[in-house]
Amino acid sequence: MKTKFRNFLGCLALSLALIGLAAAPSAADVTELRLMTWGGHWQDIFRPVVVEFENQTGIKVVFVVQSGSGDGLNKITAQRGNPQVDVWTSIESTVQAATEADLLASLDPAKIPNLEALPAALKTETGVAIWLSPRGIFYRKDLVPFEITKWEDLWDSRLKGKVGTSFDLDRGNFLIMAALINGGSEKDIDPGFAKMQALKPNLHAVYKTDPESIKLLETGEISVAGWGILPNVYAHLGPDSKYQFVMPAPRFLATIPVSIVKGRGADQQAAAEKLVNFMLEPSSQTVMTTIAGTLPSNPKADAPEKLKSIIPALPVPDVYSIDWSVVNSNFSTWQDRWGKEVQVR
Amino acid sequence: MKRGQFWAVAPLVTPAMAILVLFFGTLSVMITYSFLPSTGMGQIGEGFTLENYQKFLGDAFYLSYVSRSLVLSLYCTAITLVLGYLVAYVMYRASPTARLIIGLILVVQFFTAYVIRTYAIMLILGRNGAVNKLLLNLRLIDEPLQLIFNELGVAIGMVLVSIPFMAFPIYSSLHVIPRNLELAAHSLGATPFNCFRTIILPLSLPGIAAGIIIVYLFQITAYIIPGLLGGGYFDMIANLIYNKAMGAMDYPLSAAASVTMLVISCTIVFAAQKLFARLSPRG
Repeated sequence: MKTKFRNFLGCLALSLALIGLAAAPSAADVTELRLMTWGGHWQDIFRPVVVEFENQTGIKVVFVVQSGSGDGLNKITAQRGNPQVDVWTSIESTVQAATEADLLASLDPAKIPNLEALPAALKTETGVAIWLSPRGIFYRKDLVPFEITKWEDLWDSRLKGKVGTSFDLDRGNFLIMAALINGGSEKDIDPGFAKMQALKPNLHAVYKTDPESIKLLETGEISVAGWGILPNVYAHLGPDSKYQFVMPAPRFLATIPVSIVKGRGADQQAAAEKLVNFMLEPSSQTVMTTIAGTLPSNPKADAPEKLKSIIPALPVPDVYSIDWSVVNSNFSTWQDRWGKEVQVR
Repeated sequence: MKRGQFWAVAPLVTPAMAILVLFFGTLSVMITYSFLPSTGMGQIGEGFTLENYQKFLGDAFYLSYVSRSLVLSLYCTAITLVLGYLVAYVMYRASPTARLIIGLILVVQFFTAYVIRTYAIMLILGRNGAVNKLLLNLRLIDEPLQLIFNELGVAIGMVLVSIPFMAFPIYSSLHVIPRNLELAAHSLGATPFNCFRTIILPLSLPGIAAGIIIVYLFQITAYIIPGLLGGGYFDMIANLIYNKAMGAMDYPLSAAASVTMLVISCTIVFAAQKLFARLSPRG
């Protein structure tokens, strides 16, 4: 009996230890940083830079995947009491929401010297752009009977049943574009919904993610991705490519900010500041934007040569700046209206 | 259980208890959230409120997601039952080798990720997919049929993916039916159809019940299939809950929707179990 009871205690201790190991958060480790970003090829963009960072500092950078910026925001919100991410890349609207929720640390110019080189429009108290990502129309030249040059071309009757677009990507940005070309804006969205009604005969699919848009184009399910994100399609473009990317006015350059998540401790924050500063170095900027097909945020870095042949002149003219606080306040209502008025046959 | 055996088994209870605590813990958090106010994107206030339930249950738009999910799951389950029973019956009557092959065909799809299988269905049913290409080549149609990005695509995907979940429980019931019952019935003059109707079918009811419950719950909570095959045009309740939680970040509203669906699903399962208990032959 004694033996069996001792065995029981031993097994119980082992079970509890296993549960404890599985449940316990990993100890804070100043030799490791956790960078949350999008999956797939997005990590390929950061990889050369983080490898160089690791070589120079000895601090290992581990990727944490987010399916989208909203997913990333949800993760850091849920982890508020015990954050598991040091550095976060997302989009303006989610950084704004995270800032309002007091999830992000202030960026200290004294500790991130490269901040000074960036224009004021590309940095806030809690986020700094690491690159600018062009948005536009991405289409298959072999399936579209004319050259697309402006947003209004999406409404052309020759594109009946051939267009795909998204509401979720960039949090309603396509709807805002529709409003702008119809005399409205994010502050007056009704013209956008009216314009979307007119697009319905051409609309064949509504995608939620960038990879989905590429798959739909590849299979020919759609001929035009009405909301295309250039880094996703950059590799497909070229002189002999069947794909074409156009960036009509009003133009949208998504500022991709990097932020530092609060609550990981002073040492982790200091290491995170080093990484952010390293990402803003002109050499790092050139490496990342060459792979991504984006514009560097640091004016001292060169824009990729291939990119110059795809987008209008640099600096990009007629770029519209969205008031994301208006979008965040109205997003749920717009989401319901989109479901009632647009996503119905 | 002897005392000695108890001490040997007791340590296994600890991990099981941890899982149960986690399960009921997250469930209670979700229920709690459903009664808290939303104070902004991703922000939750304090205090008890019924406004989330009022908002969800009082809006015909939100309720349309519930009704379309219930209706689609109902008829897709019925179709899956017919097809699944056919597959199970063929396995029941087949030779051991054929049974093994059919079983492997059903099982092998579990080796592939759910998303990949759904994309494969898109490739088959899509505008340039195998079905449309065949129909166009046979000149049965002049332009591709819209087989996805609508209710039809979602329904086809639901049924295809659900067949194994229906076939295996039914086969398990068929498998244990004594063969001499059929022999006795035949010897007394019963036709094959009567034998099936009066012996096989009633005795396979436990498997049918299990298959229906599993498949219905699987379909009513589907997210990936309506998301991909619906193309945004036939979102179901799980898509709405996801959109509200991850897109609009209105956690209380999405929690209220989730709790509502949990109550509906539990009611359906309870009613189905009672019904099948009545219909199953006794003894």
